[in-house]
Amino acid sequence: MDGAPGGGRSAIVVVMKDWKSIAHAHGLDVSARDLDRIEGPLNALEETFRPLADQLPPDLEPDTELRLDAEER
Amino acid sequence: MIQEAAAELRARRVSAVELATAAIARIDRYNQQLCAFITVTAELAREQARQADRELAAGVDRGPLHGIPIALKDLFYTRGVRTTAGSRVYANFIPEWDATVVERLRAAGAVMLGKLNMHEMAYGITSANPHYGPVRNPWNTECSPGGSSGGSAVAAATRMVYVAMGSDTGGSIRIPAAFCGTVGLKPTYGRVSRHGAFPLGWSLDHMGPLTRSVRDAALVLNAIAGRDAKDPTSSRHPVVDYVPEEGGSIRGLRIGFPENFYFDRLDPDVESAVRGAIARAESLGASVRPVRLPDVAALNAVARMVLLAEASAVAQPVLGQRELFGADVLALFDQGCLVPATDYINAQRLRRKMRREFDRVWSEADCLMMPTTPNVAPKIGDTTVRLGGRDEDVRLATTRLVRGINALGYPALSMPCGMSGGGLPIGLQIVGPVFEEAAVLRVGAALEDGGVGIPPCPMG
Repeated sequence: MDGAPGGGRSAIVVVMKDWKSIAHAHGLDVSARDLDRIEGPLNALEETFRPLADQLPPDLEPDTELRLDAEER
Repeated sequence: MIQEAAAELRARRVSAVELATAAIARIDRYNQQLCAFITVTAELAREQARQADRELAAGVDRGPLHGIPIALKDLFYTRGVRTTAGSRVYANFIPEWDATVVERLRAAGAVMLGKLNMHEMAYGITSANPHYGPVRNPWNTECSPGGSSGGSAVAAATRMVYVAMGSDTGGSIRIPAAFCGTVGLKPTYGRVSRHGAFPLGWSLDHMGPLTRSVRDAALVLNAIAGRDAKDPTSSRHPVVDYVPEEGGSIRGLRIGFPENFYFDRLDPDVESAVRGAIARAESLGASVRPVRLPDVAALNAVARMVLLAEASAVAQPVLGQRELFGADVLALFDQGCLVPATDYINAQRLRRKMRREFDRVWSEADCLMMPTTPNVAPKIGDTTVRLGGRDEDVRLATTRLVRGINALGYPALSMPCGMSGGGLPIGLQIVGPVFEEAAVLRVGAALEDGGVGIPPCPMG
């Protein structure tokens, strides 16, 4: 992780995904060794990201195309 | 520096051909050891230099970059010149057209010396390229130059060229600039066209220069900034003259330094040098103040989620050729393939929310100062770095102060501000609100004029 996230979310329990099953379900042609290598980083990201995503209000829309022009904001 | 060379060219004390010849000689001298270039276009450079000289002699002056040697990270499309993206997959790819940045630099009269080595597919921070050789840090060749624009930083630091173009998706201009002691500018998202640059993450990719001075970076931005209809996210925001005036003041400017996150777990030499630069800004009349930022670790997680998904989407057509990729890059692509669409969409929703939250800091400060990286250049092959009594993954540590800025799209400059006890450069990061490159560059130039910097590179 890039550092400990803000304090208030530490009590939320994040259930880790079974990345190997997900990879197989996706038909991803990845060796067991390669899967071992990616599990740790994905779990770490999941631990930070999941509580953030779970707090999102339904009316917040995605920024699928970043436009920073002042007149368009 | 560019302005001096430009003056010499116009006074006929030097020719563009002589500048190009000197650049080729430096590349010949250092490239075998440093591995900064993948392709050297010496003949093309001589031809472009001859044309630049002819034009100047005929009174055609394309501006300060006219006749100036430059080089391009090997992800910018160059018509008729191999463009590999540092990958074996594209080892024989020869584009039929130029990237917009390349077109604009050529229109400004710049002379292209070649294509620069980089982390494979721009997806990493070491530039230890398994296909074209590991780029080495000119301050200590056992150390990493950073990445992904590692060759760009080395070429600028060692004076192989005056300008080396790079790209920055999660720190890839600023990190090598910090590790190699050059200036690196990541402009606002949309300020510089991405058209014709191999994408890594469409919504995070930024193109910008690595140079040996802040004013040189500003001169390049003048040449490449502006609307490009070929890039759907290119901005119509007005372009200004980005070059700071000589002796420009920062008196009264509000400079914030984050009291959370950005000064946590730093190499003590980094902390000392950056705090010294902030103190120098205050002594130059800036109003320096602590500011509190929203959750940067959360922002970094959002940026990583976006990048994982976008990068794997970009690479999906070629991911079947697994044997052509380095292990580190392949692992990242594999991770991205497992990110569900819902997580990508939610990351983009979080990004919007976080940008609103971070924008509030601009009511308290005109720009922010912080370290570019918490560490100095690690040894090539090191996988961890010890910071604040804790071993950290070297990639996550090196990107933790830069990655989030890409998700926000803010302009950010890295400039050298000191040396470690071990003789390696330290980078100061200056961040501003969107489209405030001029202010960021003004602060950087004032600090440079005020003595913030480092000695020339020993190979420079």
